Amino acid sequence: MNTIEYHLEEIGPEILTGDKSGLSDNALTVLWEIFIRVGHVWELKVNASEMRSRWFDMIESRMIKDSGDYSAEYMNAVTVWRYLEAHHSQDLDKIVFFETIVTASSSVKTRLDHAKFFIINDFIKCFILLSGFKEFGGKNYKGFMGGSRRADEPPIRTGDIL
Amino acid sequence: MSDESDVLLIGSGVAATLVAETMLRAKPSLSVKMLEAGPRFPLRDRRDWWDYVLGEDPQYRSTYDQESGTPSPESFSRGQTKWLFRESRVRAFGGSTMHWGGWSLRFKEEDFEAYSRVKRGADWPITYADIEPWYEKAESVLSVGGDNADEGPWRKNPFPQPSFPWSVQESFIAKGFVERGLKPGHMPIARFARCMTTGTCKYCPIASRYTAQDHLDLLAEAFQSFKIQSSATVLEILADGPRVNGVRYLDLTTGETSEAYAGTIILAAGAYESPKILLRSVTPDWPNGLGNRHDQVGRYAVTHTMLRVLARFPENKDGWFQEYDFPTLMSRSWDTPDRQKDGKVFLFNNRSYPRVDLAGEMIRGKRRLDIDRMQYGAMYLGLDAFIEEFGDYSNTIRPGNATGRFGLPTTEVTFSRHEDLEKVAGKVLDEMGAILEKIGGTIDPMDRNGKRLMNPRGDHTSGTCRMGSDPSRSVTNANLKVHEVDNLYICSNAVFPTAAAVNPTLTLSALALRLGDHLIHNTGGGV
Repeated sequence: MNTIEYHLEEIGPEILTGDKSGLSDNALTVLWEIFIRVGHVWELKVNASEMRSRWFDMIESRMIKDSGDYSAEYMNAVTVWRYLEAHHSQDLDKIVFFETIVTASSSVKTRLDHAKFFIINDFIKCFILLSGFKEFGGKNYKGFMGGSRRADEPPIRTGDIL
Repeated sequence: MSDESDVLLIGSGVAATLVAETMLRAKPSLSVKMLEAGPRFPLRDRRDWWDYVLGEDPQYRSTYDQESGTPSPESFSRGQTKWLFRESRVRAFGGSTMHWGGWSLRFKEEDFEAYSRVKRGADWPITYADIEPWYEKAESVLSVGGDNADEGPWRKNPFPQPSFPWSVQESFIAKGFVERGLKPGHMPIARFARCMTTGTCKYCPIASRYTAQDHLDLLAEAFQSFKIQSSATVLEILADGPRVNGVRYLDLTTGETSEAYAGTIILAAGAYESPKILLRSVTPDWPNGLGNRHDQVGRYAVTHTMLRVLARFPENKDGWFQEYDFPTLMSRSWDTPDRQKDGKVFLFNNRSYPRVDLAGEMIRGKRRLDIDRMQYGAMYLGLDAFIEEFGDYSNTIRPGNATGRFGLPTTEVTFSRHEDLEKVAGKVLDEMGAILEKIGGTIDPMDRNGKRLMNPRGDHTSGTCRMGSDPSRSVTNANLKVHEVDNLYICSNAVFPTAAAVNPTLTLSALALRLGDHLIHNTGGGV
């Protein structure tokens, strides 16, 4: 008899609800591991530790509203990641980042879909806007605190003044 | 309990706010009440900001007009030219300053004399010299940064803030401007000194862009006699012969209809709602609507039509992308008297290009090499422009028979373009294309996005209660008082006799400051 693997278990598209007691230190460690993996996978050579406080601000802010509380989604992502690490460690990046493409809530079916759509997609966006964009050139990006308009160095790349 | 105030303002955008502030600071004992149909949305909310930067819409977008084709349409285009309502106004406490881009340009001298000069549109009953001091005050309130060396109308004093520098790609495009004989300039942008250039200007996390909501909160704290009520929709203005004495409004929180009375009423509900309220305010003395003795209310509707040109460049070797959330390159070299007859043109950089959605491509499973190819490969650069159109008597805004959201009557816009516009726009599009071609761009004639005359969009709607000296051809006088009504004023883009080629907010702000001053100093204390 075939058994369905944990990450492929179908749980429907709705955002998960459940325990809202907060994330444990261990859970946060796993989430941070997922976040910095984004940088490794796409070779974004920025100092991820400098992003940690703002990354945490994102996590925290997405757990503070009754509607759209991501707490249970974070926990699902943690358990899915741990499962894949234990059972598919060689193909982890391929499965999560390149084979599981979920860009619409209507496509969310499995636990892995949930982890990708609700959490990992946002981690990718967050990684880019907090500094990852610099790997592609540029000094400023939507969501990045570019700096004061009065600073000696302009907060963006500039060209000739005609 | 009696609901009476000295001054009642309808609307809570920048116009109502600046009138209120001017009057309250001059005369703190005034009782001032403000009614706003829309709800209040939070600013600087951590969760909302993260939701926004991660791709969700700010909450205020839920108030945008729902057009034909949506499940519950409330705004309809009826003319030969399709009029777009989408994203054009915010119906919320703070009005459209909740989403405005901060582009703050003065009209030019000739904009106030269009009819005298070229026999199009109408003359303003005031001149540029009359409004110049108020422009200066408005620039100070909104904290406008600009370059004093740029082309533009004369100014007595410099901009209060320095300009934002051009981005690297804008400097590149500016060379094309120069090659084609245009003078490149810096977009005057309203941002406070604390701006940290987050690139999230539509939802600033640190209040570095002016919003009427922030301003009103400060006023409400400073003046106990100032009362603001949101979710309160004015249904009609109550008039008795040549005077108005109050309004009837729907309290959306209770569903009850109430009346509020005032000595002076200022209608600052935008170019859609202001004429709609007047037309719905019918009495035996005003059978066709308040202030509408000569069938001028709700006519001459006009806005800006956008022209867009995109050119392809073979490579983007330095990986340029948009680093601000607004354009800083513009030119007013086609915004000149010699172009006025056909419609002046305001030219600016398209802020969306070059564009590669880095995170989006990663989410879609693209590998680094693929993304690098996109980032450093062929790119598009673009130019946008507004072309001036002139108000036409048959282009109207009217209330529909049904009720839309916020208890507001549905909106019906009947608009048809002037027969020459497409021909004129075609020439301008060619000129815009020539700039991009001069710096190496290629415009694909088969690409519908290559050169585009877009449909008129309601963002800059104006002219629907225009000001003038002749009561038979206008709705208000030069002081924005409705003709033949002693104590009713309109402060909105609706009073603009011409729309010029540039964004209206700075001019509206200047008119609001001027009106507040007029009411205090020239009407026996304003009440």
